Amino acid sequence: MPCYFAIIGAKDNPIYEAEFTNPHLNQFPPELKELNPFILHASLDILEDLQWQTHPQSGAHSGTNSGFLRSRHSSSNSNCYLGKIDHFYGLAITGYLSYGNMKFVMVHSGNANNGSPVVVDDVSVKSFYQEVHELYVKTLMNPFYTLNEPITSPVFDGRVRALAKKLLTK
Amino acid sequence: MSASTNSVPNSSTGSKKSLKAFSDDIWKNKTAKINAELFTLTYGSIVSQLCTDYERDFVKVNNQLFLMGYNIGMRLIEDFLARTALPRCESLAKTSEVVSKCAFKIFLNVTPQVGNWSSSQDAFSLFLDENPLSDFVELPMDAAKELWYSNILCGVLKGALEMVQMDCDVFFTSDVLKGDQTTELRVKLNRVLKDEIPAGED
Amino acid sequence: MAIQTILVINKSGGLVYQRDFVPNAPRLSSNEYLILAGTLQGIVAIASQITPKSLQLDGKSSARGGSEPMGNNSAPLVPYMGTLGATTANGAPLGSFLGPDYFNDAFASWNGRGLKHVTTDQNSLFVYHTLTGIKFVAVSTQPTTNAMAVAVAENLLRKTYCLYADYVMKNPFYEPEMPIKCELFDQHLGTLVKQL
Repeated sequence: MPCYFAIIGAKDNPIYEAEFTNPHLNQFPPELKELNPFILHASLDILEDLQWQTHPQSGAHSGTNSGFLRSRHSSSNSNCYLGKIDHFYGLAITGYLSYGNMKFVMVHSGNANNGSPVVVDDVSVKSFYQEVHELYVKTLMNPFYTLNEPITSPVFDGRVRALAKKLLTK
Repeated sequence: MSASTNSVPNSSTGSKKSLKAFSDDIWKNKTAKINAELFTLTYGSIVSQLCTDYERDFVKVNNQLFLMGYNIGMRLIEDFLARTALPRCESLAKTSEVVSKCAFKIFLNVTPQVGNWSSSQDAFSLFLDENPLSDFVELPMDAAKELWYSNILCGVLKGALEMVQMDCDVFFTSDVLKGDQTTELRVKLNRVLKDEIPAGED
Repeated sequence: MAIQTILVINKSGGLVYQRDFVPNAPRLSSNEYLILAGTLQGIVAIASQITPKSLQLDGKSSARGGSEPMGNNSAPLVPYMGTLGATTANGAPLGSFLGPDYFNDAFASWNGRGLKHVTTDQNSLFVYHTLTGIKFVAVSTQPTTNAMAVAVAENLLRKTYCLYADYVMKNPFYEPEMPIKCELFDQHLGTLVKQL
């Protein structure tokens, strides 16, 4: 299934975007393709609501009883993944929030031909986000990259696409 | 008592350790360490700030890095000698070995390969397989042509060698950051400053 | 026997550091110290020229052709003196040096044929010089010709060199070749000598 992925900065500015499709599968319909950025930005409001909630994960996680941003007892980034946060006419939108308030969001499309609903495979989507997060941190370590600026590095782009191929559009 | 090519005197047993084991020991047991990422980020922020300050005139940035390195090298050589008490090198071959196996090991924990000797044995290259200064770094498009990102290393070597009375030219000839196959640092000995060698030595 | 004075002389023969450790000992004026440093520099140079070949310690005459790049420098090994001013005894850190001591191997002296040791009827003077041309000089309160005392002094002066590398050369505000006014160096050198 095709996906549209974007990293949105702290000031809601786009940092990076990419569309993952697989030639053997169907593509985003052209009219939808242009809408993708809008759909993503529309769901940012929901994401920002979620970030202040105690249990933002869609899957009912237990454990930490403090708010998401205050969950300093959790050393892993497992609670950065917010799961499915929104939907739009059969498209699902998932989100991931880094501790630096970078928003990683993605539009998942189902198979438009048979009209079956989108199924988000939480496990692989989550690991995709976590790995992209790691790549993002590495980009941040590059002294020539400025925080909140668009990522232009072809290396980053290549690695993200390779990840998507492995985990999302297989 | 005389030490062989590769050895450094060792007291208690009277045995001889190789230069490599000697440096490993100093690195492991005698040198205080800092976090590598902090080090890399500090150097990175210096370089990128210089690029901004010099309005992306990378020739100037290279020179400035070299100069900073030169000042470091002049001071660092004392630390190196205090730590190792190595005798004066009798040939450039020995110098190259001490620089790669001992100096780079103690200060950066890497051991560059020595090679590419000139026919007159007065110049050699150090091949840096890994460069702790440039982890995470991707050069921006405009810098990829002119900027020698790790140019500070040239300055350090130049300064340090000059303090032990060797007048050298030190420069990079290739860098993996620029898309080259290897990172090659060239050291060329111009002359030994004989007049400045302290009395009491040859 | 105690250390009365430690001097540091830069490579051009200028006195850059002088400190007395015995409060009531007769002192030289600062000008006299400057002259002493300059004279010492000259004497070391002359001594290295007039030392007979048979007494030279660098073994140049015996090594032929320099086939072993490092081998023909067979300056005498100075034995390592264990707890001499080992600074971790009181938990104080050793600057950039790890472990219980600055070094724990014997080392070859760089001073192959120069002046190392002068004895008068009142005190002894020990010289340690580095590859970069700096001279560290220690003056003891009693005369001695004991080889052990010379070795102790050499060890002490190499440790002084370690302190110099850490607290003088790594002080970004210290200008090379200029007089040393570094409080940390003073402090650590004081501790080192006190623990002797």
